[in-house]
Amino acid sequence: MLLVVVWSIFPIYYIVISAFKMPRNIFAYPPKIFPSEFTTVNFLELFKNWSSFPTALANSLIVTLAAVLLTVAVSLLAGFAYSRFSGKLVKNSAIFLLVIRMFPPIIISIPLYPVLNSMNKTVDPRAVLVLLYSAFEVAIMTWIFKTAFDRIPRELEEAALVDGCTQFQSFVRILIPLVAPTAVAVSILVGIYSWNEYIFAFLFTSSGSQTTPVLIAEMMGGLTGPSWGQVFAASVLQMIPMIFFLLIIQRFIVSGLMGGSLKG
Amino acid sequence: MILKVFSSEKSGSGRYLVLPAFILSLLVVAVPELWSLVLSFSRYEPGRNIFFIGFKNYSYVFSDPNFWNSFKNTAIFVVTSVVLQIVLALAFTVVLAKGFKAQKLWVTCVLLPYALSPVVTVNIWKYMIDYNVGIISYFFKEMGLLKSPWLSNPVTAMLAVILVYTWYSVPFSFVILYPARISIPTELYEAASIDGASHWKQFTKITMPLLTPTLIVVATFRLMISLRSFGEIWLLTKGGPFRSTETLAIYLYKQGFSYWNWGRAAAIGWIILLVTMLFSLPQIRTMYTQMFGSKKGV
Repeated sequence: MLLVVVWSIFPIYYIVISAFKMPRNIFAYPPKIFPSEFTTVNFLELFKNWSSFPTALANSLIVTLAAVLLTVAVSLLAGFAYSRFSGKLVKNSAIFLLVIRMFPPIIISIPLYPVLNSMNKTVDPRAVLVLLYSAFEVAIMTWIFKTAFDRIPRELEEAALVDGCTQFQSFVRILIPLVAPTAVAVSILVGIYSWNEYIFAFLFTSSGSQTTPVLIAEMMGGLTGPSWGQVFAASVLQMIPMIFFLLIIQRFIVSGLMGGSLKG
Repeated sequence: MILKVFSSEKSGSGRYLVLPAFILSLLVVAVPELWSLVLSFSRYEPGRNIFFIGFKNYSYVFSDPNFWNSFKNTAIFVVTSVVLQIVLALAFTVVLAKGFKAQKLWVTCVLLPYALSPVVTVNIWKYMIDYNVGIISYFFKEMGLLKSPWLSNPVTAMLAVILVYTWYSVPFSFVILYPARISIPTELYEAASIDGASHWKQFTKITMPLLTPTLIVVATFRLMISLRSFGEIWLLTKGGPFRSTETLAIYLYKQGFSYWNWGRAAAIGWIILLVTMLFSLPQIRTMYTQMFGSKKGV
């Protein structure tokens, strides 16, 4: 049990601690697990030397928020439709979405790159990222929403209709509140993915529009000894929001999401 | 009257709600994919015109020893890390299934790597395995096992890549295995205990058979995902040393963005896609029937 925890936690603990180590302690040998001195100098240096860091954070935020909104909106609607309706359009598009999910993202980059490069002046790369992230996440999230809608008995909608609601009203007033928890979970999952994503962000952004992971990777690239503290500081800053959100939905992940659809 | 409203479900206008999802995927993924298929049969370098060259890209790739090298590396990487991931996730599942005080806390701990970006993960591990100051290297050196930097030796570089990727991926498998495990009724285990079965027997006779379907799904899924991993490996080794950790994805990247030969890169992409499809088809079929098989009471 102890091994389980150590395995999972230690690397994270280590980088957080190291971010607060004095630079010379980062290179101490033997390495210190429990440093005796703490400092915030790495964080200060980070902001001093990499003035684009806040911009990168902002970019990550924008892209993440937009991707979450788009994905949730699109997959909520689609999930609802798959749950309640049938027909050829429904079935064929379902196969399509499932297949899309299997595509390795990297092979998309080849055809897209020349197109996007030439459009770089006119199209904001961040919008491109939003579209890409949403397109890939929609397949899974639609399925999650469908499962969620399946669990809501249709009698609720029927009752609403009897009471005089239009179908649209029953949708908005009843169904949406009921899937709100699912929507939250979906948002966080998509959010984590978008915030942390590297490949597409790496390929398709340029200096002003980089997201945080790309910037941190750049920081690693030109590594001479002294910068490591700043890299740790940056990593910790990038990491903290996601850990926070993960904590919020961990219960949901374990109990609801996968268990229902993969009966062992 | 109510029946009339819902009988129009089959042809109701609600089904058009799938359209946004469909269109989004279509435009962003499918269309470029098809274009890449065209590319794979052409010669295309930036700044020049495209022209059709038939299967030349494919024949080049198949006769390129680097391709087969990356194929081999990918196989080693994927199989080893998937096996490790699942074994570890299974082990964690079994351990945690026993139930502990503050159970939620431990589950959360196991899930934590999920929250990290490949960049941060690589950062942490690079620091830990650094030959001079890394804590892992420290232990290995004290034991006399480590002679040269992890990332300079082809074998240990591959080990490092597998290790980092496994650490990063265990939560994914855990998230599927753990709920499956705790949905097994405890009565089964209690009855077995009363009958005098040891823990190991309980594991092999109860847990494993019941989890096998889930294990297969997880394995297929993780195989698929590991096949396409790029960031984690690239950031750690860039495919080195001497291409010993160059997987198909990195090979593709190099063809496309170092050598700027997009026709060839597109061809490689389609090869990867076809290989992925081989694994995925059974899964697609299963998910499809799950989606449309039984409507009520799934």
